[in-house]
Amino acid sequence: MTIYDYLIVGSGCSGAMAAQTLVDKGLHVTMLDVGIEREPSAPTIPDGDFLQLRQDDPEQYRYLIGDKASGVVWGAVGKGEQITPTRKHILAGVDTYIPMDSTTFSPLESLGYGGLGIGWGLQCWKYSEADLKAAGLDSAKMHAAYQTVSDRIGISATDDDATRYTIGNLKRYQPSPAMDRNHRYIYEKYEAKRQKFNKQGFHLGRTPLGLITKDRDGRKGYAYHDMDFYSDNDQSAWRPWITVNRLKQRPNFTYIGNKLVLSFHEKKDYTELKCLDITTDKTVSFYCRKLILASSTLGTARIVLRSLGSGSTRLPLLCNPYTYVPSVQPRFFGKAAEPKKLGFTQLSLFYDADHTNSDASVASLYSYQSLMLFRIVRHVPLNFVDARILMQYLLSSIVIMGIHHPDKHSDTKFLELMQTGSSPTGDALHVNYELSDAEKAVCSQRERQLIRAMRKMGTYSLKKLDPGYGSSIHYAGTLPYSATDEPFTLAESGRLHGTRTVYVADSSGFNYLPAPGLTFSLMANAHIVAESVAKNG
Amino acid sequence: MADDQLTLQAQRFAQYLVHADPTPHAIQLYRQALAQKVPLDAKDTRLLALVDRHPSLLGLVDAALPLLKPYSEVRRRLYLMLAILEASPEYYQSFVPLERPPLYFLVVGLACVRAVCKTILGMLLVVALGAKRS
Repeated sequence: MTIYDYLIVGSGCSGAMAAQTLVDKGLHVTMLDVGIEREPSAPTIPDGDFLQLRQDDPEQYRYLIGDKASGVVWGAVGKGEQITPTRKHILAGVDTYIPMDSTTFSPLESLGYGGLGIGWGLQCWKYSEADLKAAGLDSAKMHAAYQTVSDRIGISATDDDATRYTIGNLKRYQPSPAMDRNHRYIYEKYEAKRQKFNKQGFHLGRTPLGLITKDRDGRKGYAYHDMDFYSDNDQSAWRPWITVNRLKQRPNFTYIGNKLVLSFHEKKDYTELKCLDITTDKTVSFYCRKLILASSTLGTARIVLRSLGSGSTRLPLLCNPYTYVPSVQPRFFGKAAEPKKLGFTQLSLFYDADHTNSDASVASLYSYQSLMLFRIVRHVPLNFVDARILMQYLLSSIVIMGIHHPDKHSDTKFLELMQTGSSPTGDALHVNYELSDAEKAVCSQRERQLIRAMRKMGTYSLKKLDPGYGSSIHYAGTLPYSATDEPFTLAESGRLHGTRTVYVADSSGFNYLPAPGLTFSLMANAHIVAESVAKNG
Repeated sequence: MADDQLTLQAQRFAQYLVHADPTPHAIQLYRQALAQKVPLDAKDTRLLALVDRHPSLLGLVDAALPLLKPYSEVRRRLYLMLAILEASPEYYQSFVPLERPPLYFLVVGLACVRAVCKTILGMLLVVALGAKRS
């Protein structure tokens, strides 16, 4: 029987960061993961600019819409609409191995190699002091950890009017990528009336991204190919698999794939993990001295509930309410497509009505090009011929606002494990997620304010699309940090109360979920938890 | 549906959508995408039969469906063909934004007026078709 020293569950953003922290200390680390990779038959994407490939490449359908048009999604607006055929493995195996039972919540989960980080939008926002405190995170440790993570993955950012909402006092980063014309236009409009906007609680700034703009560590600086939704060819965008692949070269790191961790059981000298081998559907055991769960909030909740829960155990849940608003800039009607673009968000507009730098809502702004015309045409209530003519004319003017709101715990947001014979694990996660009328009213009011502010920046909303709860892909708060030794809570070190050797390194511990995307914060937290695991021997 | 019928349907849909014949490759992709059968309800069966029998009515049916039956199979198939055409270099000019002269907004405005008229006529047609058979 092999007893591993440090066993990390999951290869996503938090698993990769926790692993690197421990490996850098010379400790022996093993990563257990399902780790579904792109199919070998998946198309190879040639290097080149999006518009050039569209004109030249006869095989483009393979990565743009998928073989058999499998990437052409039909039906109501839902989760993962922007997932392109080359990133479809992010969803592989999910319905089979981690089924969800919910009429109110439709999350995106992943068993892919790199987890949800495969399709991460790269936003690297730091939480403010007030938000860190509300989330139950140690602000001094988090500030240091943000810098560590930034140094590891490479971040591009700008010190501007929104700095206190975006990067705070982060020191080392590369310059932001150049903005496209739609964003430059918004930025100029904002700058012209900046003081007025600030007075009303609006702050606009460049979005910090996990994207390098200059070559470093064997990765290429961003080349403005606008293929970000399809390809990681130059590795300018950081993905967890980049770190895990590099760790695999180190002698004190082992990666074991095809294993879905089901539960753990602490024994006197070690912890036993029961796993499902997805190649055989048989249960196998692994043994370790220290266990670090980093399989995303919902995945970790499943493991903890199977290990320690009774049938009726309910865990709380946090998820940023999300809506998106396609908008147009009349100035760019009928303009030719712009070469050398960036598919990621370029600007963030914060709405902080009471100027406290806490509990703000944020709109991420994207211009629309490389996700193709057909995806947007289906939302136009006209026949396809005229809708195509109209949208081809408007496409260069389209800006999408993705609006996130903060979230707090409440009795109507919870999850529990239900037994079911139809799943290889014997269970499914049941989630109930509902906002109160008061919460809905706050979200609507803020959305109206943000839409109004964008109008003053020459960007007019067309409609508000509600993709449903869970679509923000930001989940947290199932095992909140607690100073007392209550079950299903975490100690400050990340240790699961009631256990001696089980730690949680993802966002399960957050007591509050600020609106800015959580990924940078959960990576910083994973580093802190790993430091704490190492310190405790 | 037989391959021949699907080929014919692909040709009609492409002609309707971009006023051009589909390449053999686009037809092949369309057939592959529809290889997996989906169950059709009675209304979709009638609508598909109608546009196959009377291709000239396709525009009216397409115009009515976003409001009357947004997830109709007819609309799904048109959408599939639209995506296939967009992902083919031959139809690049029909999809990628092009520099337009200032007065081009009149063309777009006309398309919108035409679209609204088609919607009204199309809704009358589809409702009448439904009423006649129900």
